[in-house]
Amino acid sequence: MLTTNIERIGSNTVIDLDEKDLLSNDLIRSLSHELSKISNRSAVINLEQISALSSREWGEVVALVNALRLIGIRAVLCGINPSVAMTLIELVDSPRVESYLNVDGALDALEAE
Amino acid sequence: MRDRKEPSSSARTDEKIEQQQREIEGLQHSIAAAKFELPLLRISQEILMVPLVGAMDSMRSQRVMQNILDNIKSAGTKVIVIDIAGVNVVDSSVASHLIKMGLATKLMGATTIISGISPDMATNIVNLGIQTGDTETTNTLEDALNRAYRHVGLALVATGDADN
Repeated sequence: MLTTNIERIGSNTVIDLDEKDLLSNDLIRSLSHELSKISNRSAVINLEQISALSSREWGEVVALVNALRLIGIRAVLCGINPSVAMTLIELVDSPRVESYLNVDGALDALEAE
Repeated sequence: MRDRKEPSSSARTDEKIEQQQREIEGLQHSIAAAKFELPLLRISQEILMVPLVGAMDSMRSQRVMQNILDNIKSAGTKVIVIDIAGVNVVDSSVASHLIKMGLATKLMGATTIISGISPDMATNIVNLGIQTGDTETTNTLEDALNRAYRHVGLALVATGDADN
């Protein structure tokens, strides 16, 4: 059962991921289903509550972004903490995702398009 | 055989005080050195400048990066200008540290511009086959700051009121 906090803000959807969510085997499928029911075409995946991210978990996050894109939803990230950023650059070659400081920054960028 | 005289208690105290003073001086020196090696200069509300001087090893690079990332989170900095004109040697290791800094700041929604790349440095970088990816780089600090202002929607404009 999906326990991830999902909030609609205007024409965007904000998904607050936490460390428990990343343990789920069905995160991508569940969230894709959930968001496909909402008419919003853009989403912000907020990672502020995550203090550490393994390469597997990062892979899940990127896969989620890609899955949402496949169903026509532009997903961006926000709220990556400094310690997570420093770990990620060692784990992955070149993280190619759109990422913003916080939810407000992400929403502003999406609204500006 | 002559008896060895044990140092008096006051002599031991003096020695202890001297040792503690040396430790304090050492700590003060370390703190001063740390401040020197981690300079963060705020140019505007959204622009931070980091002038790097001297050698860039991986420990120093980590400290600088941590400082910058903490600053992005706490102050909402949007653009970081890292000036490397004062860095002794820019080899593939230093270039790698700088590119990682750019990636890390990008993950936090900020942009890094590296300034101070001289023509000789640029020639060495290409000859070494170092890939800078999409990291923004400039020759002069002036150019970097102009780009930084543009990133945040600002521009320096001449007012015609210069003092003569």
